[in-house]
Amino acid sequence: MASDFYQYDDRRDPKWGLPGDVRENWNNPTIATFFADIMTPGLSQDEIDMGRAMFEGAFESMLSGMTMPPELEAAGEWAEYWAPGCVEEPDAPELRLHVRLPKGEGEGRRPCIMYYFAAGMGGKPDYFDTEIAQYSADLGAVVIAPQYRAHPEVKQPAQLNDLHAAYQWAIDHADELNIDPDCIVLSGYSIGAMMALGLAFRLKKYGITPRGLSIVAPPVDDMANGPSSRISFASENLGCEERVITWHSFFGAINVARPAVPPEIVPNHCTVDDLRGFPPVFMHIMESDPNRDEDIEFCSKLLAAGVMTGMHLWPGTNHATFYSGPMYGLKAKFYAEVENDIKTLIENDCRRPWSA
Amino acid sequence: MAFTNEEITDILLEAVGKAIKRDPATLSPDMRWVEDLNFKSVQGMKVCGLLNYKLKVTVPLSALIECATLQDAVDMLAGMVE
Repeated sequence: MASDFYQYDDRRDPKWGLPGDVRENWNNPTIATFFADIMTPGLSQDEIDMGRAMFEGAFESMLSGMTMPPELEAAGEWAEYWAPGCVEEPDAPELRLHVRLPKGEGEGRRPCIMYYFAAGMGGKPDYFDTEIAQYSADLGAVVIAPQYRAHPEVKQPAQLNDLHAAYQWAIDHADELNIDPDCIVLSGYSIGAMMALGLAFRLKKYGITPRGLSIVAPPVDDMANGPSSRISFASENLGCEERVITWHSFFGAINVARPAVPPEIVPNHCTVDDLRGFPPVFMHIMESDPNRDEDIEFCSKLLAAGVMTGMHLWPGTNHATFYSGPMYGLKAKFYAEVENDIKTLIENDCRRPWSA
Repeated sequence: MAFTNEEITDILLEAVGKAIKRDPATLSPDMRWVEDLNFKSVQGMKVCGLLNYKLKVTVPLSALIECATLQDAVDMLAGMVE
């Protein structure tokens, strides 16, 4: 954990929130409250198991009583598949893929959305079924949500290898699922968004450029350079303390803040040259989020590299504003914008191979 | 699995103690969530998670925070695990 001399920027006070619904829901329960129970360095396996059980139990509690609208449920079918390890880890355990298949024939090949859930220290993509089903229904897309391996027991690049395996599986099964293998959009929130960027770097090595990325509030750097890296919520929301233990949990203490760790693991370790030919990126950034400044810096690099880049900074929000508490107007607007970003990427090929 | 009221009380006090970082021995069933424990819904998530884990039932967060005292929560949980 951060030391006593660390200068925190305490943002627990709701005055930091946009007046109205955001401010009234500023301190809603978030999954970040469980980070220390699972990721604190030195925990025993029993303690980690207990923390993870609490985390997953809390998710079940939040979701209990919430049912998907019948018309949305009826718009598609759920399926489960298992993918073998990717080329970089062929002996990896089989990867569970939670898949939403839209009903109806549609016209031609379907677009595919890779959905990477957040946190990664437990849980499963099924917790986000409503969002997954909505994308599938509205965009006529096959949505594939891989249940990548949980940290801290398993560290990077295992999780990136899992996402790589899921991407390869989608291409290999494109005929079976009627997917357009050239129209795969990577999407995710928080660590899921970070790994979407990491996968784009990984695939670049193999000459593959996904259709684009739609990502929300990714942590992209472990150097804690910008002022936003001091934002704290005293472990009641995602703040600098949670980021620190996440780095240790996710890719190991020995690798934290080492610039030589490649951008497929820590995206902002890239140079502008590394980003030439990168797929288009739509990124949403939150004002009171410790990830804010590095996200802006990363987008600046994308722009310098000539990559089509959309960046929306939401004022008066924190990392969890759109992922906790009740639905209200601004949240609905946010989700509509994210979906519209994905729609733009599906309907238009915005890649710029000439910039590479 | 059946639980006695005493067992449920112990499990709840342990969960609350863990959530608010307080020795469960200093807690009693007549305590009120907000007035006596300064309880926040953030901490309710942890309590629900631990209850789900120990009691093998899904406790809705909304139901937990509607209970005025810890004893009210014990009574609700006793009905759920029957």
